[in-house]
Amino acid sequence: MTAFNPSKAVRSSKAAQLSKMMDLDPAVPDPWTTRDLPGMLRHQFAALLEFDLASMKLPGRAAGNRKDALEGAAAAGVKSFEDLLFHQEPPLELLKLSKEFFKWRIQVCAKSTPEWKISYLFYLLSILAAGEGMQLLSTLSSTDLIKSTGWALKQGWVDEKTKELILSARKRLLA
Amino acid sequence: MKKVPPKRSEEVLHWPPTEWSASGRIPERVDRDPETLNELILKYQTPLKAYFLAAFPGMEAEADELLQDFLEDRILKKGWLDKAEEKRGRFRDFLKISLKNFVRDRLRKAHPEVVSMSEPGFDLAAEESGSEALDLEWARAVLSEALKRMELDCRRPCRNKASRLQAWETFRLRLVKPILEGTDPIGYEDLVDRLGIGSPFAARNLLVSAKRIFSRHLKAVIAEYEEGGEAARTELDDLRQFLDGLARGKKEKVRSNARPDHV
Repeated sequence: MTAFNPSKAVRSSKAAQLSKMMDLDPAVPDPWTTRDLPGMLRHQFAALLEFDLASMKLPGRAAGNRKDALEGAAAAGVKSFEDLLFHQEPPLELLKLSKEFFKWRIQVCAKSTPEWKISYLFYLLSILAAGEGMQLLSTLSSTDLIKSTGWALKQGWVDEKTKELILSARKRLLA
Repeated sequence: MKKVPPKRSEEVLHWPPTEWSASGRIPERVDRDPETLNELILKYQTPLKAYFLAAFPGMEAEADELLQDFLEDRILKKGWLDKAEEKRGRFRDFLKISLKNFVRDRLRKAHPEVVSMSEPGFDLAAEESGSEALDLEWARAVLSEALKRMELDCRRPCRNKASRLQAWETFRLRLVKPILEGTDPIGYEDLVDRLGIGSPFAARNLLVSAKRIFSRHLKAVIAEYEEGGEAARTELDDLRQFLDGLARGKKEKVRSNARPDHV
């Protein structure tokens, strides 16, 4: 740990710094920063599908279908987003749910914030992971998807394994 | 009065009375627990000196002696603190007025032939500057005390000590250090690695808990010199408004008067 001592440091701080300390509000969550993106990415990959996807409100029959899809996938060992998105033959029903979940997250997060970037990447991955079935999941044109893959490949916080998946999908789109 | 150049060091704001409880003089003078009173004096000495240096320019050489006398003749005088604790407006203002009147009385006694508004102690601009210097030092002292207590609280042995320690370290490294040192916040993933926290999201939740603990200690520190409840809330709002005003650049000159090394 560093030797930084807050109670000493505050004694030589300026008004602007003291003002920020006085204004710390427990009700306001600490904003994510770009430094947090790699950790957020890993956390989202490791997150359980059931936890996130079951949080979406769906009408009765659709909710029942979701339950069946999640249970079936879990029985086949597909439990996390990483399991789903890197699966050789991911269940389309779950990819669709995943796409809808992150589409909703994109809408509720402020644009270009770390939360928004993570949601946008997972929205895109949910479509790309469908391989040949991409067009069944999204109405986005190939041109739009290629553009989005270009954005994703430029992000320094995206790991190599994920970039390979994106690159492979991009080749398919360009073919 | 002899003018001395200001010292360019942190010590300029500290004056001798640091071991009153050890001196054994307190119990004879006031009905107070010596330890408590010693803490009280230590807490207020820096703001009082900042006030004095800015409010009475040209009297730097007399500062320590006059403040020492003020301590003995007022703060340690039987009944003075009780008077201060009666409802008589803000405690900070009570201290300022008491010190100002004390110094003016001394000046009148020392120079009975001179009764001029231009004399030291009768300079309104300097008095305003002194008032701001005290408030700024006061805010520092309050925050420093709240931080110190929070750390002790989080390190205290208890059932969930590990998580409270993680909360303190998360608060210290992710929030306080960037604010006070102007650096980028440490990433949550680094905190996860360094502190053994479950995930970045768990670290973020710890920070919410830490902010709650800090807020509780901040209010407790203020409640010790202002009455709790509404008076303490008002004092917190006043300190916030005061700091906000300074932060906007209006009156940062206060620091140059009181602490030339930290402008």
